[in-house]
Amino acid sequence: MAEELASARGVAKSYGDSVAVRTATATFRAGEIHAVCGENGAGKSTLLKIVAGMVVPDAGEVTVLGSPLVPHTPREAIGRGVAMVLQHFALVPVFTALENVVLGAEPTTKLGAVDWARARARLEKVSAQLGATIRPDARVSDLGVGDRQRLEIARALYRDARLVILDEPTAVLTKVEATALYGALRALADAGKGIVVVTHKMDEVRAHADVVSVMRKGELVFTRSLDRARGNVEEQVEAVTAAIMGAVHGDQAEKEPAERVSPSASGDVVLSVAGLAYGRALAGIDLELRAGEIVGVAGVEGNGQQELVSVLAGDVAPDAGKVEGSRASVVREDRHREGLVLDADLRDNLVLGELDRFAGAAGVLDLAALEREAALRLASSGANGGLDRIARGLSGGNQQKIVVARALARLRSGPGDRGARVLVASQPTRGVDLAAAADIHAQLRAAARAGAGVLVLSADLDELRALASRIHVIARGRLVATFGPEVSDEEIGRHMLGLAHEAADEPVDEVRSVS
Amino acid sequence: MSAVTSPRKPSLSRSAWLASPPPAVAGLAAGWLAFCLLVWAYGASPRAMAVLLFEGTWGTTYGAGQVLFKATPLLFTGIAVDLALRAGLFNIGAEGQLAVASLVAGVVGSLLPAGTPAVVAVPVVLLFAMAAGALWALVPAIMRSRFGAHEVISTIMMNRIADGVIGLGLGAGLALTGTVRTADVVGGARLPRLEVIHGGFRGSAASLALPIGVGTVLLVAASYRRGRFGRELGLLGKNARAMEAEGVPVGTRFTQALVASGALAGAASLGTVLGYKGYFEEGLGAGAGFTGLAVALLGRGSAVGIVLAALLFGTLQQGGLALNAHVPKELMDVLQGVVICAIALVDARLRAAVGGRA
Repeated sequence: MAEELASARGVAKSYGDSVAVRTATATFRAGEIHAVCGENGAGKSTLLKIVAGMVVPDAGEVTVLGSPLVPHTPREAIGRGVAMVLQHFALVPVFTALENVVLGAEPTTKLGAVDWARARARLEKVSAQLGATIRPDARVSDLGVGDRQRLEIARALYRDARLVILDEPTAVLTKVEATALYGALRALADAGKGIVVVTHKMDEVRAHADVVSVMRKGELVFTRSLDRARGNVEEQVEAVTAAIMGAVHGDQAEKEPAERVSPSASGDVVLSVAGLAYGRALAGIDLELRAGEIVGVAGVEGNGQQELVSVLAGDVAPDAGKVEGSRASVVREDRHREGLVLDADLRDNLVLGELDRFAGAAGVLDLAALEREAALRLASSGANGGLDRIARGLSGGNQQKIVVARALARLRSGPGDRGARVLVASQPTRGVDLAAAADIHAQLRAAARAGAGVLVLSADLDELRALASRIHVIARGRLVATFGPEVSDEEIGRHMLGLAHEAADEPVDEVRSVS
Repeated sequence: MSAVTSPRKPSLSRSAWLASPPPAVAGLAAGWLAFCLLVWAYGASPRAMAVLLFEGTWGTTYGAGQVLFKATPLLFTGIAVDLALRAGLFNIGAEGQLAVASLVAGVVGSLLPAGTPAVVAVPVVLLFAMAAGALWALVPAIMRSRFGAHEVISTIMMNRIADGVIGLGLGAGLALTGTVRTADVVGGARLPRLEVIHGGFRGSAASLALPIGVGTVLLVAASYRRGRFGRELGLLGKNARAMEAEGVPVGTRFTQALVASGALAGAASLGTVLGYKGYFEEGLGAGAGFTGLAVALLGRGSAVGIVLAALLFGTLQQGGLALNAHVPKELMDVLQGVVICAIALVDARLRAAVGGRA
């Protein structure tokens, strides 16, 4: 059996009364891609943070290369070759790629100055290992999510990591990018590194994992190898899926697939976009959205999606083109950064930015009205927890439900209502577990049925196929193709990818950043 | 993905509590420790000095009255700093804002017609003073919103500029010839001392500014929950980007927060110019702005906390005088600094406010 890089034995971790990891034992070996699956809140991230030294367990032991991880710190773990790439990246936006990679591990000349030439050469070598082009002098703030992720992995490799742990690395990627990422991970594994990947996605497990561990409610319920040579991977994966869904969603799977919102040509146009241009990111977008329909936008990260949302949300004025129709209610892509005030309670988050509505003379708030409205929205969100809960303490799925509920509440509810008639949802179920994603999809469909025009931007083609009646492909700031929901991955991928290759010729930092 | 899914709030275990105690507790503990060490280093007995300190302050009606007098400007500067801190802004300029406001209060108060009734004179002078404080805070606010200059640096510098400007102004004719003080404010602009209202305050310099200060603290603290502006500031301080995404004019709010903070700091001149001296002189109220930082850090966000913190530092200032025969009263300034440092050490939010922005 391959060399053991790290293992956790009987580790447990609680935060106050809530148990994150009840008990988990796992071994991570060289040369393998080890997938860790489970619902949101099952304890996957915590377990791996324990292995990476970021979280100190209440009980149990972590060993790295055969000896206990003491002291239990990330520094020690990295020093011994265990590095973790977090779901929410830890890069310094104003630094360049190279500066970020060497941060804290700067090679120095004899005089003590940073030896940039050596650092640069090393980054190049690491990039090659990763099969990625990383432009060392690009500012991180100008990079898309996919590039930031490659940079994080490069950072780990730069530090000679032997075990690289990735927390939901594909949550932010398109299928094409995800496939490329797994290609790179496979190459690393073949070169003797150990790879651990947290994921919700069964197709990734099926296609790429060598070993699968399943966590449920804080317990690591089983670990098994997937033997592709023996064939019948499908059956082996079935067992994994069953274990994940287990008690939680035993009945969910039997539900009929949700009814698609049928496109209606008769709905009036609620949003009409013509020749929209913004900086170098948007180069002439034409788009029409009717009441009652859901339209999808698919594309490789960084092809103008972010800027399109910004323009539609009214953050920035377009350089050219027209946006006509209702104002838009927006579900932002990054719920932690833009969607929620994590340290505020759900009450404030549910009415974020709407305090004007509850303010009377002299800016005094009608707290009773605010409470009523927040309670109403909380009930409709389907999220667990009371209004006094702090948003940070919620699972990703519940957090996203809060964001979605707030956006939906701003939609017009009936004739005469002055609310928005357009809902723009960017990555509405990213990093959210299956059950929560299904709930959010139902909410989006209901909004369309109630007369809103819904525009969904997503990296998840399955999501778009399940929701939208039309799927536009965005590439280099243009909508280059439109498909019906029955389109295949390959077909849509060709359009995304074909043009993505062209786009790669263009330096990314020339794209105007709106954030 | 968060692992914390229990509907109940996680309760801190005892060891966690010791590892990261509430900032106020850490501040007070460090302050007490520093007091004991310094007094002991001076060869005095900490216990005896503590007793002396208490007797010289809360032990007599005069002492208590003096504490209240010293605490009065701290109420204003404390809540001023606290308001800015809600929004994640560190207003270190309360000192300069108050100084400029006090000069303006002295000048405007002395220029009013002699017979102006109090109901007109006090609000007019207060308005000008607050406007001056606000204006002094507007400069760093604009520097921040337009050019991204960090308010910690710019407000500190504005303190130095305030000193210079006041000296220049007094020298250029605002002061009575040959002095560093303005003319007396008109009778109507003076706030009556509390001893006039109640015999129990006899001999104390505490004035009507004290209840006004307490009222101001209560009002501002209530606005953190019940006021649109106050509530927005709290959310802004926690995640400005999310507020911006929801259409709140974030830059404007930051500017307003700093300006409001400056106006509140300027209102402290009620306690010094109108309630005490009756004129402005160089150095009047000096230190109240800085102590306001300590008050805000200790009392963070709560009216009761701010009032208690103002009383505490008022007590230390008055107590310093009582101890002066045994240990130098400057020891109290050291204590104040120690308290601020201790709070800064354990308070993550403070660190975020000062260092967390690009």
